[in-house]
Amino acid sequence: MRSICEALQHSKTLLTILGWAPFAAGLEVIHYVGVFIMVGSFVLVDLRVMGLAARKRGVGEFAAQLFPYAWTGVAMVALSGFLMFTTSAADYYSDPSFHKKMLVTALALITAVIVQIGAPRWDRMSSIPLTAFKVVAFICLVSMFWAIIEGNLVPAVSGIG
Amino acid sequence: MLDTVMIQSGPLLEFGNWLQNRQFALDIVGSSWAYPYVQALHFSGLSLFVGTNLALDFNLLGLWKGRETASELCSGLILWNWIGFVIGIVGGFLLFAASAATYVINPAFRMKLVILIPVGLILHIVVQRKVLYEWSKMPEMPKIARLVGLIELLCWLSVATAAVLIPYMD
Repeated sequence: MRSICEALQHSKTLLTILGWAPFAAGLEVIHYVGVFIMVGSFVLVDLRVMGLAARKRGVGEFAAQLFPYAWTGVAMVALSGFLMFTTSAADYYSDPSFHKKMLVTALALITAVIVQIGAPRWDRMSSIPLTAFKVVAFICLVSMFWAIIEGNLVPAVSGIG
Repeated sequence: MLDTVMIQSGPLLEFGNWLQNRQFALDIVGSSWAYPYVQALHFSGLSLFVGTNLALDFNLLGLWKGRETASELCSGLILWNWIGFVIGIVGGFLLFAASAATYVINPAFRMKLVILIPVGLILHIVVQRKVLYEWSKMPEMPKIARLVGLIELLCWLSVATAAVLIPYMD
């Protein structure tokens, strides 16, 4: 794994493409906008499950509307994030603050998948334990914002990025 | 050129210097932890605000359309949309205060704050009002709704682009 990261970081082709300022700036825009779409959409579904948003709307329908947007955001974040990662892949690979960011992001996405699976059944109430489902939504919401915090801490702690 | 000279020696720069020397701004800059947390606050607010704005724009454009109408989606999002705006503004102001004198002379920041954000906000309020009070009464969304959704989406992308370009123009 380390050797792959070393190879990515020292790839002259990637360095030439990603070192071009307009391309690098474009990647950053895609990354940030992707985060906004991903977090905004997932968190609104979580808030709906917790009874704090869109209470007049059914959970299943509200979630079905927002999840495609959220996963579009995830795709934008993953693609741009991977390309940004390659510029300092070996440094990120050995950086604990980056590991923490990725772990929290993984927790956010796993809980988001659980919410997505449970949301269509919500309107049939009896088929899922509601309190447990609200707790999962709460964990998802907290991890989404926690991932943002960890993302901002990486350059502050390690100086990478 | 004249514009830049006036700003670099004018009241805006004086204001920037005054603001960044307030104790709260000095505390943000002086701490190695405060700045990333303030930045995270700004991004969290923007995630709620811009994320929900774009969700409505996607709906108006007919992208990944579910069973919710634009007006149903808008009414479900509107409260947290504006809560996100307030959080984003608070975080943004604190970030601005930390380096105000640098920001006021930065062309990307000026473009973002003076032109793009006001245009985006006015457009956003118009879209929300039209979706909630006019277009929802029509049997189907008028074609102009798609165009307005696209313009609003492009407007917020321009705001994000200007924000990303700020450090490139320091």
